[in-house]
Amino acid sequence: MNKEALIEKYFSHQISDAEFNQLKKWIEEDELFKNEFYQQLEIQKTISEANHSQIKERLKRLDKKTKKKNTWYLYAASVAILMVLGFLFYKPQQELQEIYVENFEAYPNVINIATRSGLENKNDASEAFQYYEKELYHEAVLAFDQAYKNHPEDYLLFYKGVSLLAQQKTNEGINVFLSYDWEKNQSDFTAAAYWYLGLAYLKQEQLSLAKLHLQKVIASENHLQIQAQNLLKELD
Amino acid sequence: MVKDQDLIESLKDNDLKVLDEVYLKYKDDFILFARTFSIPKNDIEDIYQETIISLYENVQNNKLNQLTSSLKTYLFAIGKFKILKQLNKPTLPYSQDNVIHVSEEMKVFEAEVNDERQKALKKSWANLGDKCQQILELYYYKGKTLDEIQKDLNYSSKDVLKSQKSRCLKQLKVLVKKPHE
Repeated sequence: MNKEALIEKYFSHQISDAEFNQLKKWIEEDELFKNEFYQQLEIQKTISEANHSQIKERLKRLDKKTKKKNTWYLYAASVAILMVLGFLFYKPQQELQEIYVENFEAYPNVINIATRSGLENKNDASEAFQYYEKELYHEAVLAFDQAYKNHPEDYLLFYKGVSLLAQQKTNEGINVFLSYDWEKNQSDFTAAAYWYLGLAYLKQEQLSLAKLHLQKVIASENHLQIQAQNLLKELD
Repeated sequence: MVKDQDLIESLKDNDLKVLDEVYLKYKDDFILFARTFSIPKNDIEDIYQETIISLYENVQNNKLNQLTSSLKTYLFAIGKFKILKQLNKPTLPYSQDNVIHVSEEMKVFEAEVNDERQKALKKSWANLGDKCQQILELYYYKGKTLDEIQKDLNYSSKDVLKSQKSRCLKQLKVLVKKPHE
């Protein structure tokens, strides 16, 4: 078989073991052939790198995201403990409104932690989180809204929703949470978003919708599922 | 293993969520594996990303259709080649030799290209005409044969395509040699 045909077989993935070894032998013995083949491999490498830079970025982002997630779980766990403690002092015969007040707690800022370790650099977002941490929820909503317009990130929407609920703007909060498909986008905040939706519906005394969302939290692999389970038990 | 093949089918359909899943699933094991070769920690993540990209490209370009081992074994075989490549990297930054890395296990040849040259190639590639890019990409990246390309791009004969292809290679060579401002 001629060299050209074997090279074609190599690049079209049709080469047999014996042919591969033949190619290898030529590379070792024939300097001219080697250099010619080398140039073709160079081109292949160049095209591959030109094509995969997006995937590379995607994988790098995924690494950052999972590192972020690790810290998020720590915080979620501490919230969980606080909430369990809350349930120990749970009084029976509460009105739904009271249950809501007892359960609602602004979600901890888990994003800014990542910012501080240099993972993200978004000024408008960090401003929003500063308001959020100072419990200036009105300003926080505006800032999250602006930040989301610049960088449509799920967490910006999530914290905007929580900020609205914290201001008792329950209806608006619900609308924000409903405006994004957390599950479909596999957001890290899926379970938490359902948790807040469940609470918000509770406040509006829409019991079946509240239960529906709490059940979704229970079905998730999230630390909030314990709280959701307990809450659902109280409601039944 | 049946499940692994399902993953391959999803990757064929360009399901990047599955790629993420595979990436995370074997990452810890791969890091442990790479450490046994005394690869610097900082390089491991990069090598692993390149490994996953190779898997993705092999599936997309029809090099890998049917797994004959578990996905993990396949992935680690690619990774091992990349690790060995890294260890055998020429130490002189401007080595004149054209080094070709070989993996008999994976039936792969790979050119060792220094950063500066890679940069020049990348730039030249971007400046190459669309038509040439298309032909070279189909041949060198998508794994198409000349017959297939002739049919896909409506060339009157294989010889016409062949001479077009060598013109493209020449053009690229000229572009690489040209000094870039």
